[in-house]
Amino acid sequence: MEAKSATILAIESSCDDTSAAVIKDGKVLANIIASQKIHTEWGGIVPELASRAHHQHIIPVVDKALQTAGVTKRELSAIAYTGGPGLLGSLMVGSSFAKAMALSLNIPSIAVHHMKAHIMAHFIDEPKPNFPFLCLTVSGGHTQIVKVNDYLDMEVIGSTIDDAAGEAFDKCAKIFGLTYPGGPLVDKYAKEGNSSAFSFSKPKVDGLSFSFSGLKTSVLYFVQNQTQKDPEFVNKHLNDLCASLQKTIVDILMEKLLLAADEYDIKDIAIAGGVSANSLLRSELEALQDKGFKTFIPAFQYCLDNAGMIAMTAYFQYLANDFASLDFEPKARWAI
Amino acid sequence: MAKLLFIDTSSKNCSALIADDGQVIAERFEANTRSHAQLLPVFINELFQQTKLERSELSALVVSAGPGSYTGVRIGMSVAKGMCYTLDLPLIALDSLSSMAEAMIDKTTENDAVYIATMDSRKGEIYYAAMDDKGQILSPSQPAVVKDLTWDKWIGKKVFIAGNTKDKLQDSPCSLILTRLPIDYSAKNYIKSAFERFEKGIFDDLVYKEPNYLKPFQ
Repeated sequence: MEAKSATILAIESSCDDTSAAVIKDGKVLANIIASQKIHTEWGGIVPELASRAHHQHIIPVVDKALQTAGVTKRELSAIAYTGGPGLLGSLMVGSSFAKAMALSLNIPSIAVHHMKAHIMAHFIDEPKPNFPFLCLTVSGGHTQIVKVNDYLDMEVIGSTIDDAAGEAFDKCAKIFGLTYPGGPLVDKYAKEGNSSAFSFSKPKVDGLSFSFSGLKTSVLYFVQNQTQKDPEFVNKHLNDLCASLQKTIVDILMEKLLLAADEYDIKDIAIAGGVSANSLLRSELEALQDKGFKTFIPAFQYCLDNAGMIAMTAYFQYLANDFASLDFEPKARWAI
Repeated sequence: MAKLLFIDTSSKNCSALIADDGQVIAERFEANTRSHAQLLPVFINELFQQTKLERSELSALVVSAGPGSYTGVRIGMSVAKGMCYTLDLPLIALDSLSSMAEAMIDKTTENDAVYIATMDSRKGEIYYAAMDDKGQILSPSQPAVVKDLTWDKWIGKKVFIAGNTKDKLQDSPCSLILTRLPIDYSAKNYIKSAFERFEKGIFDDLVYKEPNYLKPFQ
């Protein structure tokens, strides 16, 4: 790939955060994220409300990104947007806005794959992994092990057959009576708890596949059972419940990741996606350094959904002349 | 000479045009389109290519704010916001059904008539707006349950209707004789009121203008 000068505005709107970033010659100059608080009231993401909120947030967020970067609209070389996967209504707002900017400025647009972008977040800051590396990509909607051969060449070598890891965190948190999104709260309470207080069954799935729906059911039955004996059970043992759940999920993830590293004989290992903000997952991954692995964890602001990672991916797509036509249709499902 | 770009994606039709002082100079239209998200940006690009206009020659952008399909309206308004923000254009967002009723008035020469513009909505419901022949709004755009629709208050008037609700309205208890006008959902419906708004300099808030959802989310 030939390096050429480019200033790109990127817009991310695949779920419940509206985000815009500016990247110049491979360096992220601004990464603005507006979160939607409304979904907490509903106990989960409500797609129609997410679309409505994106529509309200998009101009202030884009404007702030350009101002923070000190870049004018006329200086832009391309406009990038998340093309999928994600909530269709939400993707429609960001992609339509981005295409309109591109056609107004008569510059190309770039459609970016959200899950590839989570992995490309590793190229925003030092240290950067070497090719090929393995990336465990975990979020509320995805759990995948990806073999990354080059910036734009990736293959999924393992994925979940049912729920995503982040979904397991959130759904079990709901069983514990925690508000949405429960994942970060589980992490918080787990810090005060004993992770071997309770044992939850781990799935038996072959190869590099994951499964989390059985864990959710086992947690539900366990809590129901204990609550019958003692209605205050969850309140009394919340910290231990969270610690035990977190340990189980992280164990399942790490087990498969190590299996993949062994199978493909790869020593550069990374994590990405919303669940990579989990403190136990981060520390377990770092602990692998003692076993001869090089590990990579993105900065916190690039773990959750953000346009910085979309911008980073778009920069490499720009160098590869990988542009989208104006009739690109956003995709709710889109394989890597 | 003011050149305005018009966008209407509130129905299944994808419609875009450029008008110069009220006259259409280029138009793109597709009925029953599969995807507004795919088609609308292409249509707008083609309008610029055909007219050889510079983006900077536009004076304002007109968009349908609905009511209509939530997704369709949101795509239209997202494109409108993107263009207005980028080109520093004023935004004129107009009601889909009031604009359709105005277009209906222009098709007839009746006095003491009522014009009802309708659009199919969810099961058992429609959206409608009504105007008299002077262009006064009798009923602003609203959702209505078909089996409760009588429109009794307009007995004795000549009542015109338009929209994709012909089959659905057979289930209504309305006894009025409704004369159907062949007006489709189109960006053309907005031309007259948009230029009036433009002349008066009445524009919408670009950042916070929302589609006419008509109903709070529940």
